[in-house]
Amino acid sequence: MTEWVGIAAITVVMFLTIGVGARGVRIARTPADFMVAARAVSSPVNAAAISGEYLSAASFLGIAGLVFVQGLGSLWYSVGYAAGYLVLLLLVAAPLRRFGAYTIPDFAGGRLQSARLRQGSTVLVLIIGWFYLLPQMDGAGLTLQVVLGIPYWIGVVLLGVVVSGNIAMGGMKGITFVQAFQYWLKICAIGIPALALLAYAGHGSTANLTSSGAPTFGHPTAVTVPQAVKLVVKRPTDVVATGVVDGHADAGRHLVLEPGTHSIGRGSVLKFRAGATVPVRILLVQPSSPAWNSPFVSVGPDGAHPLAATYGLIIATFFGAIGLPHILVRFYTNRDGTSARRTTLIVLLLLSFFYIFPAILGVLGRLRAPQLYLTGNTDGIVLALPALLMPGPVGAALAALVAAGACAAFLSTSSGLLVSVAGAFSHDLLRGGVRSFRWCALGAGAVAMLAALLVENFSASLLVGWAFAIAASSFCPLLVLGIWWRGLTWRGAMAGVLIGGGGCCAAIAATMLGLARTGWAAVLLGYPAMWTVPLAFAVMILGSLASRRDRPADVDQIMLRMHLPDTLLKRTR
Amino acid sequence: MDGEQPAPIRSVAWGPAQTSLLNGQVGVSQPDRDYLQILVRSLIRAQLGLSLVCLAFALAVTASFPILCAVLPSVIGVKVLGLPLTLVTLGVGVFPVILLIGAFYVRQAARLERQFTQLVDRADGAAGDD
Repeated sequence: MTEWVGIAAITVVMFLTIGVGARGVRIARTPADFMVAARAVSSPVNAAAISGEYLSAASFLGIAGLVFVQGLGSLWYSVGYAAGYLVLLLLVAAPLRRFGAYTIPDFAGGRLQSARLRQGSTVLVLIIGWFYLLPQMDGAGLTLQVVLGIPYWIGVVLLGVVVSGNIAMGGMKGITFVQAFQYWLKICAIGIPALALLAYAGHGSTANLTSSGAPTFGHPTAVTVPQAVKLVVKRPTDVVATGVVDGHADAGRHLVLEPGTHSIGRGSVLKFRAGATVPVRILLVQPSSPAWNSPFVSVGPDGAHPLAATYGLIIATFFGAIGLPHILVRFYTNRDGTSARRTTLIVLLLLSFFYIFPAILGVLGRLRAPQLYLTGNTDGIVLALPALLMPGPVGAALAALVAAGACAAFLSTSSGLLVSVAGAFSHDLLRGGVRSFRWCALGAGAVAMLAALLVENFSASLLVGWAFAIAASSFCPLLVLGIWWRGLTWRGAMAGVLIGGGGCCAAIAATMLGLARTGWAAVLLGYPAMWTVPLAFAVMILGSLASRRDRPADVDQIMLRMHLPDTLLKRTR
Repeated sequence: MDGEQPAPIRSVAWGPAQTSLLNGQVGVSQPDRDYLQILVRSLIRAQLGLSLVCLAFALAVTASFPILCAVLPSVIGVKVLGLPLTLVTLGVGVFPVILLIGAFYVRQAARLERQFTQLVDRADGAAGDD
């Protein structure tokens, strides 16, 4: 019964998205599409479209899950994702719109007059785009796994086929109204369940929020373990077990779980007393994390230097939004620089509104559904919560709504990203054209699909955080210096992008391979933005100063075009 | 090689206004274009100053919280209406601050552009009298 509501909701979202998108016949993001949109779209609609494309599976599923598992410090993800738009508003929104480039490679090539820099930026667009695509695929696999009970890889393949096939067929082009619709769908799909659950289950003790140790059960709780798990128990815990515990079959036997690791068989039921400490699934165990209610994030088994890790995350998210490949193109649908500013401000409002809800869900999970520490999955908390807190048809309906929202989240973001990636590939690296674009869309989708199968155990927010870190240490300095400093040259920019972006990619690869697990090495490699962003800025400035003769001859005209007020520009017509 | 050959700027959409600007056909007369350049440089500097001040303020307000908690660990245990301070600040509190800074910036940036336009108009008017 419950599954059918979820299946219906997901199917409706898929067909709505594809159906509305498929009405467009031409492939995405030709200048003409945006010229048309530029005249027709108002700032609120445009802002909803930008937010709709921006709010990905990492925002929808990931943040609440991280808050639940790691603690309130993970809220820096939502703060940073929103604050990234403030930085974008302050530093690039209006001048970038006036410059008129559709993509970052276009900006790099046009501002600095270098084809080589343009190609270099294209490669980086591909890397960032893929990094951002992974968590979307990951979210899709997980959502379908939780809702439909199908294996993870089927969900990944399904999303990959649907999105890349749809884009290759020419659907889902950058239709502003589809993306705007996606924002309102997502805010309803997370806001309504969050508020309903808060009203229904929000009252009562808040002990789990402030206790520095492990959470406890608020009332006697029977937990059904849907799949075999290994649990970590910190202090002796009384349970009544039905099923298989540590290899012994029990039928309603009372036993004490001693501190250590215990394996629980599939389908077992464990009954805990009120006040019992919640055992934690071994996958979710934080080797050593700062107190749950502290504003820090941590990395590595020793959780060393949480303050530095937190600032690494802050720098990456605050400065990363500027450099995301699928965001810039949306700014062209603004009428002029002034409306680009207004749109960005509304985006900031819409994002702030949205990001209150993942926090509510993550906190509610810890307060009222600590059994998810036994059975849950970091990114699956949001999906599992409604049915747990509100048994019955209402809970099932809310769960279906959440599933539909998650579906909208990864569909819209992965479509936007895949269009950017495929467009960059076919347009800037190959010969271009519709055929090449189609093959690139299919190829990029397939690569992302394969990679997503390898990252099942990485949290969506972590992966997206890394995409932000790469963007912050390559494109952010390129755009900021290109807009505000006449002295930037293509050689300086290229050196900065290579060293900053390359260093960041290398650090992330080292972290994924597990090369550095402890101490400063783990922090500097796991949250690389704190050193790669300043490094990229420094290299770009020094490199440009060293190659002064490469300054484009028409730099004054370009600066004029980016900064001249819109009223003066219009008067020259 | 690339430095000498200007790259073709594909799919950079310039309206007629931007094109005429690039070709030096702006509505101001030729001798005034140098003056316009000087004015634009001062505008850019003023806009950058505004942006950096707002950015510094935003960072000081939002990103100072972890440092505060590291220096005074007892702050972490503070409760507001029964909820942890971290939840109140990061979950809700920072967003109005960010929005207010954004709104302030948008107004101030528009004001700078209005002042600049008036300056140019005045220069235009003076040139027109000749």
